[in-house]
Amino acid sequence: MRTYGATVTPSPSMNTEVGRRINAEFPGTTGSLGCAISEAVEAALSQEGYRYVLGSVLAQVLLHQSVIGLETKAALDKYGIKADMIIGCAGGGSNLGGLISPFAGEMLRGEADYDIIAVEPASCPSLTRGVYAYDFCDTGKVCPLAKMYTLGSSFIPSANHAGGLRYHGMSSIVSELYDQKILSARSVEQTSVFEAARTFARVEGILPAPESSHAIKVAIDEALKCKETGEEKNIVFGLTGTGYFDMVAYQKFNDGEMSDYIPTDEDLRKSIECLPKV
Amino acid sequence: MSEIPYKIYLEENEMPDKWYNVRADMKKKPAPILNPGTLKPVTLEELSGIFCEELAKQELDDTTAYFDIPEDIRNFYKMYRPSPLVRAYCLEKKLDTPAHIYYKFEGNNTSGSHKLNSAIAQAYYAKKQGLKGVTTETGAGQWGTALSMACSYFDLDCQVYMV
Repeated sequence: MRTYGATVTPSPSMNTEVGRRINAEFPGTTGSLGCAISEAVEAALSQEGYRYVLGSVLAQVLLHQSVIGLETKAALDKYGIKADMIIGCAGGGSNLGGLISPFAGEMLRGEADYDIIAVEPASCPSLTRGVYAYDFCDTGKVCPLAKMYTLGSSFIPSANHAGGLRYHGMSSIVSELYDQKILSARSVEQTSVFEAARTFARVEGILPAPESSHAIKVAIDEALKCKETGEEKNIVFGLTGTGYFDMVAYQKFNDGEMSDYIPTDEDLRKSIECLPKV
Repeated sequence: MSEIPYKIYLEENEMPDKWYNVRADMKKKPAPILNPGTLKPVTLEELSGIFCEELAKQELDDTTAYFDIPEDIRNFYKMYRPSPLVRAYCLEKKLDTPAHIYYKFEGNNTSGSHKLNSAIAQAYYAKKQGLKGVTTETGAGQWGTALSMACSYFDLDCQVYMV
């Protein structure tokens, strides 16, 4: 990031009011994306000529990411391939939303049918265990409220969670499509995700990002089901990126130090209780 | 049907020239985003205080199905797009499955992820509005790196808060 001229500040920092508040309330916290968002928004609002930008969750981001799905569809069409399943990892929903948009559009227009699956970490299960309600998009509660599947903006994934996709909520578009049953969702545990990543890396020659590996895990599960049934399904998944930013996570996995922490109902109840009353 | 190659590459001229807004085809739309102070749907004016104006317009538009991708962004996309759709023949063999597995690989750029697709668009609109810079957050660093690169391309300042 600094090579490209950016300044990088670890969050929660002491540079912003919200960062100082979170550091005071939760000393030693490992932070969360929701908290870092609040800091970035505050920094934008307090400097002339600056705006805040977000890499996921927003409708505009899903719009830009639709280039993934449009290309995927064009490539499949070029060879006359009809996808049966489309699988994507879901954190804030930017990759998943972008990948599935044109396919979901066909379903919404009644032109085709697909089995679309969102895969999320068991340690941050917004679709599979969250509630569909208005919530803050950030811990500091400065961003607009969005109706989405959420674990509550105060939810912070356990510190040993290493697989990305740690956002407490979900794109309101993906949430609504899920609510309309255009897509389904599954949660997977991180050690099984890294096992899938290892299998994939060894045969396909790409070190996948942990978040992408959530999709790999379910694609492999589904391909193995086809082995049982003999079905020749066309399974398409999004390999969102490479894993070179996540060497610490891979190290933990290879050292056998990775564990699975799944939040209890009690954990989730606490953060969901804090949802705003709208 | 012709034999399916390991990698299906589109030509540059087959790259989409429009983004698709799935909300346009949803009969029941996602609920509007609300102003945290008033709990009323956010107006374009309010949202433009946080985001660039063009991006705020995109955010609130749930009826326009296609948006033209500006030429500057299309030219940037050509650095690393179209991305390949890979037939995972080796994985299929390893799993001994009759299924056909494909993956869309978005990792062939400096951010190592799909994040650059939106970073460059957001940086473009910020530059067009004459802004000095942007702020954001990042987790592992893919998004932060994507945005840093996009900002450097358009000569914008970039401040990243990293978890």
